[in-house]
Amino acid sequence: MRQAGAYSGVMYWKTGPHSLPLARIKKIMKKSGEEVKMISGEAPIVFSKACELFIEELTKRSWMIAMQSKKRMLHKEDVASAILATDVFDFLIGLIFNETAATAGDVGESENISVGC
Amino acid sequence: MGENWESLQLPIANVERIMKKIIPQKGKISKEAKKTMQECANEFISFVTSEAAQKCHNENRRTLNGDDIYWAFGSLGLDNYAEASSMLLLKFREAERIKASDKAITFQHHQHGVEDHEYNYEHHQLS
Repeated sequence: MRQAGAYSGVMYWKTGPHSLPLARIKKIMKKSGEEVKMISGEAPIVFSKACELFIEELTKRSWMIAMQSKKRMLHKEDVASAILATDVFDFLIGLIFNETAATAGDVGESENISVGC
Repeated sequence: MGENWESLQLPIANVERIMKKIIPQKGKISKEAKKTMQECANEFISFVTSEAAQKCHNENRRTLNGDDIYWAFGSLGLDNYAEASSMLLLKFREAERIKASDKAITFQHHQHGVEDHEYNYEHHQLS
């Protein structure tokens, strides 16, 4: 009887493989606060699906905004506009108005975030 | 050296793959947009996890489980995510039940000297 590791990266069960790595999700969960102590095995699995849906939803909304300006490329400003236009994404507003380690100093890609209505 | 930024995010290749499923084949995504999406996904996980962890803390429980995540989605107005996660949890728990009962059958076979079959198990550990 072979036992795989607790988080062997990809887990196959009835609903198919996970597209996001469970160990990484668990790491992010643990960093979210002092109160996070132990995490059950199913919690990262729930987030694997939820994050996929979240990325799909935010991408869809962002792309619709990009299309309004007849652009063929999705830019950070489109994502920002989508966040501003979606009430349940208010928790992301602080993120888009800060320079982060990721987006600071991107040569050739610096963009102004336009606050659209 | 400390961990770099990338290692604390969901991998950009996975994020990009999901984004590409949504946009038309000829559409493009700027590098900055991908990184922004990584940050947003990160914040999504942190935001919901904090809410769920607060509930566990208030109820004197040490282990954050799937039901807490489900509850947190609802509490934060992310109702479609709550619905998706409840369906997922049902399927997952059903699959776990089946594995557990298979295991019990194997054990009984051992006891009666029946030839062992090979089973694969994912062992979920509390961390």
